Amino acid sequence: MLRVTDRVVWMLEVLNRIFMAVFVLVLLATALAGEWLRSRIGAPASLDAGTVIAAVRLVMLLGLATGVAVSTIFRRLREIFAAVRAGDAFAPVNGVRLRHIAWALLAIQLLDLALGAVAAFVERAAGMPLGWSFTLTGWLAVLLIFVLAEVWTQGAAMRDELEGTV
Amino acid sequence: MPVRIRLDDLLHDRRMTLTDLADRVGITLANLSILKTGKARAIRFSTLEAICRALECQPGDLMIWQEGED
Repeated sequence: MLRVTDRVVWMLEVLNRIFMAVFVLVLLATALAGEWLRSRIGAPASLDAGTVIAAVRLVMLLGLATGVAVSTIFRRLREIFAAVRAGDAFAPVNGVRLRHIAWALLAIQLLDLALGAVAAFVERAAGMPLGWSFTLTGWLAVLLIFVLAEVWTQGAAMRDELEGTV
Repeated sequence: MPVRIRLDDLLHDRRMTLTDLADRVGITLANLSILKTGKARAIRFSTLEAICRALECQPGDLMIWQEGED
């Protein structure tokens, strides 16, 4: 089960890297072919092409930052899987890894808020809905993972106390 | 460690090997070795009871505290 999950996470990480590469390409395109893009963008009258390009750049940057956080989560997850497969689930370092995952999740939630702000600006300026909405699920997950990290750390300490008990 | 385990002496007096004791008390030889060599950090009461029953001794016969030892 763990091996299958590890493979799935590995594939998701590959997908994540591909997305990040696309974001970089789009960013490069806005920088190197900005004028050409401006002439091609069918922006609504209330929103000039320059603003659209700036919004696209911002969204790509937010996407890249999110990709970094997602990559952190996947890496730490795979490290935890490796420790569990090696029979050392309650190694103290796994508590640290869970905490890293929680911080990365928090970063993703904050980046999502920033994305919401960009979407709100574009919606108001262009008069067209973009469909971003606030959800509580991610924030609850952040809380959950921080608590889990603390539980794991205490579990590792308890296991350590038992080490050398006959 | 300040608490010293006198398992060697007790086994010698009773002409028993560590392997014999392991068989009698149902504790692995590895764990008994850890205890004998002073590397154990803690001992369960169930382990103490099993050893005392097998060696017909008191807990105080098995362990002595000597100040200053590390």
